[in-house]
Amino acid sequence: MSDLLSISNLTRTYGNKKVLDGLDLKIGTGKIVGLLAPNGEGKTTLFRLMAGLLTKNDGEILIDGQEPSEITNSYVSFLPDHYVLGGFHSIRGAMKHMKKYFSDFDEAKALSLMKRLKFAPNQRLASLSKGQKEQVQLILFLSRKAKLFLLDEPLAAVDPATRDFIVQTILSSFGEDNTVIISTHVVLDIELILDEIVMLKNGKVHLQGEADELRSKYGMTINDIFKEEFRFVEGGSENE
Amino acid sequence: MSDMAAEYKAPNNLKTGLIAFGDEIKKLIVIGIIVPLLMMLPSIYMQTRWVKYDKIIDKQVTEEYSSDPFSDLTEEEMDFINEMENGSILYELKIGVSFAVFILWGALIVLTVGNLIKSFFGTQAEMTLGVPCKKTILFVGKFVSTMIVMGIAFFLFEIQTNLMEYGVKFRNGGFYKIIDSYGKEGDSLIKLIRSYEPAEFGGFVFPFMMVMVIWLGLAFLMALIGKLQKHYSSALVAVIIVIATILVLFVSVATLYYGDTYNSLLLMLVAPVLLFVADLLMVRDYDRVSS
Repeated sequence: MSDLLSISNLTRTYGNKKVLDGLDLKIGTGKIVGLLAPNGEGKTTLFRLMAGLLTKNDGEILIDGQEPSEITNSYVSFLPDHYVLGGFHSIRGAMKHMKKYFSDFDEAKALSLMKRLKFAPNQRLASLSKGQKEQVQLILFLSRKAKLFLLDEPLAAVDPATRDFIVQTILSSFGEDNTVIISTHVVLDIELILDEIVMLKNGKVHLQGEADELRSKYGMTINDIFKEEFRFVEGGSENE
Repeated sequence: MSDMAAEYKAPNNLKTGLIAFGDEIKKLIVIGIIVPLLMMLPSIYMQTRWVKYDKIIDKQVTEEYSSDPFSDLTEEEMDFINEMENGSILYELKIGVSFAVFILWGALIVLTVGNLIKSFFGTQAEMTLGVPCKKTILFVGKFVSTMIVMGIAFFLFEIQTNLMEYGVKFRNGGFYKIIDSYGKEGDSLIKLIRSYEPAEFGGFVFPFMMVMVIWLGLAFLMALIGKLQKHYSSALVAVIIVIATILVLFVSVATLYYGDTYNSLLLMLVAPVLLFVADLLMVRDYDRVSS
């Protein structure tokens, strides 16, 4: 199977700090991938580079053979880690926007998911809580029939009950011909749906493998592997 | 591009750009066009007063310094003319409308600049730039639509200010102000002497240019911050960027100032054109400002 995402020698700096330092990564189609790393290890930077919102210092990113551009925007759905629907008055307004700009937006699916969470299309976005706003945003971005979903911290601002709903929604958007990459710190709630794990450390891929293989190799859950790999050591930053 | 690259049809940039352009117009239409249009109502009311004034004058004046201008006027008509010629008519209304225009002016600038920063360089950038369209086209769409709305708003404010202050008549193929208190010698302020001077509606050009420069200048600075976040460790790149920025901003401010001083539209256009080109170059290789 060819790689949907192929990254080689990717480097991106912020001033003196190399956030990504010669990162190599290949991910195939039909997978749910967990991108795990502590804060400041470049998850958001990597997503923004894939979404064409940042330029790289060096290296190459190919998404289905294309460099990030307006072309890849038509089949990559990037859910940022913060609320971006502030420019819309209502849920309907935000849905109209998605429908207008993305030919792969599935309005029926969005409406059905909204209904399950008891959101009405006419509801004003300003009247929703922070968590609810993020749910609406997630539904909109997951209602595209994209080839690649980039979900940056989708579970960060929601309660445990809603996390289950989000996990189910991610699963419902996933198929054999697309790939979902989820960055998260909340590993425990999501690890059972992950097919593949990618851990970033010092700007490189520190660990990559099938979730089941990693579990049996280390004899512990992905959550515990994460904790072990990035264990905070007093007096130092983390376990090396 | 790899050999395994899938064949993709390039998105229709122009179509998407036009959609973004229309969306931007829709976003600004209420505060930028409808409210300024509504604010024309008091000045239209003032014009009805000037029409009435003109009619009374027409009854009386055939040439300057008529020997007995008051002979056929009723007391009510004399009061009315006195009020118009002394400029005291509806003083509170004039002040109120001027204040409202000032507030609207500020609100429009803050709104459009805030909208630019948030949606293109800040927290909503993913939503704006995540669409299948070239960033330069999205930028042009945002700029042109914002400036069309601002241009209309400023032009309406200019007309509104003129119509509040003067009676305006269409004659000799153009608009002319009715000059009311011409020749105030003698005891009476009521001279019943009317003359005209061409009405100028060009007072909005400089503020409009200034707004364009503010908008494009801020876009330039925001794009620059994104670039600097990536490059500031390289002393050479940082120095080049800073010198280029100072030059661009200096030339922009200077040409705008001298353009206004010498009343030269061409000179005033240097700053927005320069900044527009600089913005397009920066946005082409877009780097989102990271917090």
